[in-house]
Amino acid sequence: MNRLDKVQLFALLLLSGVWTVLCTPALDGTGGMLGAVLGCGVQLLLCLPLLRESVPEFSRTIQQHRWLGIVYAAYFTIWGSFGFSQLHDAAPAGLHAWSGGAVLLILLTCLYTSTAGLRTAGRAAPFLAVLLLLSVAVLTIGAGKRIIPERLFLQTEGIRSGFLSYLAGSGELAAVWLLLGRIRGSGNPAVLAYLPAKLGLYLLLSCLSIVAGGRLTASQQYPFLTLTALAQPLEGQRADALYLLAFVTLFVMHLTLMTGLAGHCLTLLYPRAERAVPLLLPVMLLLSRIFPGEGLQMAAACCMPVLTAGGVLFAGLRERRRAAV
Amino acid sequence: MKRLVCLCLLPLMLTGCGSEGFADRTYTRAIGLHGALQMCVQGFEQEGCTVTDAGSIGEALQFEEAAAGGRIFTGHTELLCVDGSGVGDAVEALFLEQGISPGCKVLYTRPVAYLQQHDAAETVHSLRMAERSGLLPRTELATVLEEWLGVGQTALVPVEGCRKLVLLRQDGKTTALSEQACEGMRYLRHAPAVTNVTLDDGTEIGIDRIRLRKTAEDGTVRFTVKLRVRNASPSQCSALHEKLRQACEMAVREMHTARADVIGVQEICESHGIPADPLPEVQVRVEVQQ
Repeated sequence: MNRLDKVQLFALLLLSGVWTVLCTPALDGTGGMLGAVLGCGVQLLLCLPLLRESVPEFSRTIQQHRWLGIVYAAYFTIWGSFGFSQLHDAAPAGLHAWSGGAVLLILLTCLYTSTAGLRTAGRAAPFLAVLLLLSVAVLTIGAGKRIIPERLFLQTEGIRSGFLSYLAGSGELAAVWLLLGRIRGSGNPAVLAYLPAKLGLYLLLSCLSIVAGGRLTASQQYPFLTLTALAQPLEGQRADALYLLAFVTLFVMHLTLMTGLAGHCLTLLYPRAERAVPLLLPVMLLLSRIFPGEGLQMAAACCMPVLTAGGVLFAGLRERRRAAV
Repeated sequence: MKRLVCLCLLPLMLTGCGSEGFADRTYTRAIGLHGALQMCVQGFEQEGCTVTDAGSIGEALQFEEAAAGGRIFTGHTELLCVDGSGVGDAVEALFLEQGISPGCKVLYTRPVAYLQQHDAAETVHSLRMAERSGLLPRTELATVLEEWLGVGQTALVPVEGCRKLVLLRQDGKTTALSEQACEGMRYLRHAPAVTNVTLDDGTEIGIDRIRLRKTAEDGTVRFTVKLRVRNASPSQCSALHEKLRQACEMAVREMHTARADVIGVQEICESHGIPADPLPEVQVRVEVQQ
């Protein structure tokens, strides 16, 4: 895997994280927003072992404990297949220009980007992050006309479900250890910036859904996608094309990251497997067809804390024991 | 150089250059819905409308496309005409599945007859002007759908002629509001942009500012309308106060009789922890200041 810089790391993590945010299946009101803040705090705690001065290198650890490499590869494959499941379920909900031809085009794009490698995706990520911010700005302006402030009030209901939902949607965290080993200099600022940035976008979208979308977004299965249908800033020109572009871009970057990470793990274990990395895409697609989306998310969510913090702690312990011996 | 070329090529993706020609598409300006399901469509620069009978919105649009000889794009629809035949589900399907604009105006009328005889552009213009001048409260597709999802399942919809209002339930049941209640609704939905109010004796009073405050105390929801007037005598202020108070109270009374909520009572209840079903008592207060 080639080197990334801090901005590229931040953009890659943010784009992958916002994809899951966009496909949030339900809102829990302001209680859910509070839960998300708590979830972000837990994410920061999970990342603490990764932000130390001397972090064991991922590639060396995998080569010493091959089973760990398989676990990480399987995890990224499952998280990528959950992405396919989200695309299948969420896409028709708020994006009306959806067809089989569009899905095929997206798959071909993902195939191309996954063969191009993470370096290429890393170069594109900052530009696409700007596109994401532009879409959010347009969404905010469009939704701003419909804001009713009385809808926003403090609730204690939904804190627990918001916390669990936010934490379960943070599968990209497990990629931090791997990616930190592949950037120039310290990646800590990127990770420390990505966590509040993702939370900030989630809170903004939730807030807009509550005050501008009201009961209309609350009653729909994918409230943020319904919000895009409501947030049309201009009367004579719809913003659907921009939202569709952002939606597809987020998915492609998310899949590219997961495919690249899973492929990197497999390549470390079996160098000849490098050419077979694009085959991970049909594997992910197949898994998404076989297993229900909630099952895939549950499996990944249970492993995420372990793989984010547990993996690096385990590697650190083994190195200390080896040094002591 | 490669990045520059890519950046220059990127906007081409957003132009739709590869899609079908403008003449191959029909852009709907107005849609009328009746029963289950008769749909009439008036396009831009089209007189009259085309009528289709189908089982669902998707099917009706397919038939329309076959009749029109091209794809139909509903994203720029400006007017939706409905009647009391229970088209709530069809309206929801139009918004969620066909991407009708959330700012589309909704009008209570006989859909087919109205669109065959009237130009939707003039109707939309009249509705917008009435809203801007404060003659009608602001209503659009998004507000109608949201009100249908509320406790009352009733939306406030303007009537053909842009002067009167009806309370339209999602199942089609309709309650017409009196003229006095219509005037009260203007002040209770949101602070209207009126610049003067005419008293019963024909005197016009200039309005500098109108504020609407919604609160809840002791299980009662209170709407306070505050007006700042200019160049009005105390007796005129008193007459204005009485007129608006009666209008707002009539609006609340007729709304309660229809078990509807079109002034945001549910939001106030939820924010203050008051049960919204059944809707609590609503008190109206009017304050007129010089």
